[in-house]
Amino acid sequence: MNYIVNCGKKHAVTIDRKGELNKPFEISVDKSKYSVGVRRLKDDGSILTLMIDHKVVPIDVERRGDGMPVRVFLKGVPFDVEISKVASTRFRPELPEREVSGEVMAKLPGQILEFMVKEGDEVEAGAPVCILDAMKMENEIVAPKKGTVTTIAVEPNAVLAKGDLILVVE
Amino acid sequence: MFKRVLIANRGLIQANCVRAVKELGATAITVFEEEDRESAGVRNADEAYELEIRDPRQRPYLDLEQIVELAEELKVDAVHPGYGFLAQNGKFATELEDRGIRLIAPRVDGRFNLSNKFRVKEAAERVGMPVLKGSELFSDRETLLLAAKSLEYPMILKATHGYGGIGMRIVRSQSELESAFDHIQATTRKFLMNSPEVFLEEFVSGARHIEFPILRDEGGRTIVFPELECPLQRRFQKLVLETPAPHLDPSMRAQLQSEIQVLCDRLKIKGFASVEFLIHEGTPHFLEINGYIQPSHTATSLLTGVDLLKEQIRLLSGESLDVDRACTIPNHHVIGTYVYAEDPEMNFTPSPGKVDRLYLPFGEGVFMQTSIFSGASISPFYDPMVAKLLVRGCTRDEAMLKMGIALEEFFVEGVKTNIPLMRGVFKSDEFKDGTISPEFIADADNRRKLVDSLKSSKDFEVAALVASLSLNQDGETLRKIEVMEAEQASSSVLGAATRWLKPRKSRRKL
Repeated sequence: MNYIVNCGKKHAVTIDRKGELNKPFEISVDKSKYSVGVRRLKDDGSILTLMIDHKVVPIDVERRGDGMPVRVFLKGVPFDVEISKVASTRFRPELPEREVSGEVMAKLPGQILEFMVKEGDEVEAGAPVCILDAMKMENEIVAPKKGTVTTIAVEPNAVLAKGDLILVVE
Repeated sequence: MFKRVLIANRGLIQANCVRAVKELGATAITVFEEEDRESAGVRNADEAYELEIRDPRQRPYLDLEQIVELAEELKVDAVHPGYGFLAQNGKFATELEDRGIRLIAPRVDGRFNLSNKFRVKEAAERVGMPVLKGSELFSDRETLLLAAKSLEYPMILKATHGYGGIGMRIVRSQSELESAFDHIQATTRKFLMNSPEVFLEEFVSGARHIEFPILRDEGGRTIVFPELECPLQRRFQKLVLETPAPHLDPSMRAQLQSEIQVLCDRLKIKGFASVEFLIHEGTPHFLEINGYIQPSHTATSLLTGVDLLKEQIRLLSGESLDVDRACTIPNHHVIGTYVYAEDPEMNFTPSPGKVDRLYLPFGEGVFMQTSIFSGASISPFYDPMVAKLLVRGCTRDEAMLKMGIALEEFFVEGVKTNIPLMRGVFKSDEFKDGTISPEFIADADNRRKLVDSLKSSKDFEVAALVASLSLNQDGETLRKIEVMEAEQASSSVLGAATRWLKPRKSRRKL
């Protein structure tokens, strides 16, 4: 199987996996060749521990809803990945830019202490919009993307459950 | 020595207190709420009692009445409050003392409590220690605006009974000042149940923060330990600590140690306390005295061999100090880091959840304290600190080397942690030079650079390999890709994105 993976720059990956499942196999990335052993698998098929060139590599893969990997963690260090071509098709799927939802929800149960924005305000991505008091900490909640605050769904001091909508940026 | 000690806290400090009390030959009793049933402190205690949730708005560890009732019913002779929660609650102390139960917290002889930052600052000024310019104590908005006129922005607004980052804000303008004031007043009602009084203080940026732990017994025998420095914080909570501080001149250390001795004598402190200073352009400024054992004090224990927690309990039971004075001069170097279940990339948002997999570092000179285990749930209700990692070397260089390697060996899956960020910190020139500032990692670009500094070109290749392989392993996804390619081929429109490829919110597949 051949893949083109973009993680900063594009890498051509070839996986040659034939024969016994438990034996190490060869993966080439650009001009480098790696011997890879899969040490343990989760039931759902996500990889747990790899043996890459005689080095144990515990890994964690974050996937999109459809199962496509979007981030790979090597010892907790995140690498953004994007698989842009698979196998030998001459068609390259052009993945649209990852769209970010503008809905800001409470990731934790907590209490809204204050809002830094009001409806109609323009915000930059990453700008603080409100403070959620949870886990003994004041958590600064930031805008997920650039846009206009269209809805503020709760009052200051509201006590929220996990997943409650706080505001919407469009 | 006490016979029965109740530990009214959770997490690491609870586990450490349980151990200390047992080592001292007393019965270690603790309280817990349902979801902490499996934690180390609860497991290891001689007796453990579940707290009822009487008010759903309040965590039961803050339920003063219930804990006092329980202490009385269980006939304990002392209560260890740990840090946070009720550790600085004056009412808690009084209620217990009224029932003949000793609260293990520092006692001062005088009209005020050590937790009153402003009064302690006044006392330090009286013994001749330099202090930061600031206002008087006040609690009304009119005085606030008047007091602000004598200082320049940015300044810090502090609740006199604040602790652990609660009730403290840096303000850069009048509007920030007013909203901080309102916020602190609200917080005071919630957490700092004792006093709405606040004061303003000048903010010195780029200052270094050091503290000297002390032990003092009833007879006035005092040990002032070498200083701890916390070169890196996030929102007033510590991330890194070192003892001794990398750039403190031994003569300045000796001078501060003797001044602290005078202040402690003046305040007649009994038990354990920690005296904090800001070092700004080579000049120390007295900041405050903390009366509770903090996570950082394990570093002092490791440096000096003195078990501070055990000594604190012993001294407050009326026994006298018996510690070799040689430990006031440091002869090793200890570096520590706190591991939080939070995502530094997402502005340190807590990352509660279940720990899927955990590898802990260990070895010569490497000390690990953690309350988590494989399968543990990280509660969304509390401070997300999950581990303390400490290393001891003969020199600072050796300690840094040990820390860097120990963090590489430390792997937590299932919740996000600051481990990669901390690896970047210990690798950075800023940390090596000792020039890293508490504000440094508040900057998201700095954080990204630190984490990116860990990535070698080979790592990118491995990441690409892993991504491909994870797709290869997942038959379902593979099938989707084939469908997509077939659809694309048939539509023959180059680059048309098919429906299933529309990205949804990314999530981790557990």
